Amino acid sequence: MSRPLELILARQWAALLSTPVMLFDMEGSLIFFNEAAGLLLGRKYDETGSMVGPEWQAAFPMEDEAGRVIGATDSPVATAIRSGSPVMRTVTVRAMDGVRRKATVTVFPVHGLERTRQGAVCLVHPA
Amino acid sequence: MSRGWNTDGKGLSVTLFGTRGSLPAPGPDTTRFGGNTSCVMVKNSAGQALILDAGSGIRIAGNRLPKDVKRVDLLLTHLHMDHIQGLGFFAPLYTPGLDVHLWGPPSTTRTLRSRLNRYLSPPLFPVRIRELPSRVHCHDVTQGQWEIGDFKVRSSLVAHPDPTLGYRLESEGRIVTYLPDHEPQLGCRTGLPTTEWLSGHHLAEGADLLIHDAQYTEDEYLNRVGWGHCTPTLAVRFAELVRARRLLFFHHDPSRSDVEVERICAEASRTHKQGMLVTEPAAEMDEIKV
Repeated sequence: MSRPLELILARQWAALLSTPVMLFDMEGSLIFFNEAAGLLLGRKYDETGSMVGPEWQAAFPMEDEAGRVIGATDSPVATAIRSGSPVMRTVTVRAMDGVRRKATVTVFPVHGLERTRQGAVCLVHPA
Repeated sequence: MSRGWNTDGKGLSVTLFGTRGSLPAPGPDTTRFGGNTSCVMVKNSAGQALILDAGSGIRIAGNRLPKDVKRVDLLLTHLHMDHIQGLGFFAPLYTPGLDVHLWGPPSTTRTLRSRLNRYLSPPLFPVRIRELPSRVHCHDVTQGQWEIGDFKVRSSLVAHPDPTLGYRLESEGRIVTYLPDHEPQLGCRTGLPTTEWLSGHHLAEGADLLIHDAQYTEDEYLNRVGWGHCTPTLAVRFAELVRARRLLFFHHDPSRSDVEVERICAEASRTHKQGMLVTEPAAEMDEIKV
């Protein structure tokens, strides 16, 4: 089963960008991240493949500005998907190469034709 | 010309009333593959017919429907001119009381009916939809599945500028997939993507007949990336990936002569290496048994 066209085109767009981009489906699975995001996350997409929510949250936990781990339901991705509105937040990622990296993430939900929600796009700005 | 392999008396009949892309191209150089723009009729053994797209070929298709037909279903992939320009000349629309169902994509802000009204109204056309004597039912569809008589219909958005659908029609155990305008390679740096990320894959998977865009040559495509079309060679790759049994090269460029269509499609067919795919250029008025 192929993914919705909105996500297919988002992936093709992301793959051409030097801006770090991650794509999520409506279940919160990380379905793609580009090479630039791979540098921040410490692994390449070709190495990890898609990861369901618990997998990516364990692989690279995010902390808030006070150093507390952000729970699955409070993550910017979960909030954007649940609310249908964009979310912007500064987090620290414990990357898969063991390095902690601070970044501001902007997550916006993908609303397709007829307002069907297809997932979310996360742009990452290294802080 | 009629040909095919459904020797059991069952199966689908696919008639090509328009195979050209972008602009009608009548003339002495296009008599073999035709000059009318996209229109295809798929009929099952019970005689039930679905019509795909309303290019200039639909004028003839409309005249081929039985006079006592009770209901007509027209599935539009998108509203670019070459796919709707024949609509005003579709005879069933002028049959009093006949139920004509139009299926196609809305935009993000306008319904299908509203979008069609932009063409079927002055100054582009003298007759408005609401003035037609038939009963016109417009259905907004994007991705989904539904039944029309004995046909199972599946639609999905596919890679082409503006909201564009592909269709998968199933009846009597046969599958026909219609992707007349499709650029599955858009943004891909190395060939076509894996099936999960391949536009149109689930519509075309295992199709007995795949009608697919093959408008540009390789050289033309280099300068037309993002215009929404495919090359015959990439259409072959796509057909291999979805494991289609038979591929019709469709949506011939209006500048292409019969000789050129024949040549570029033959060259593309020779690139087929996997499986037993049958390929040929779509020719107007051909009737194919599936």
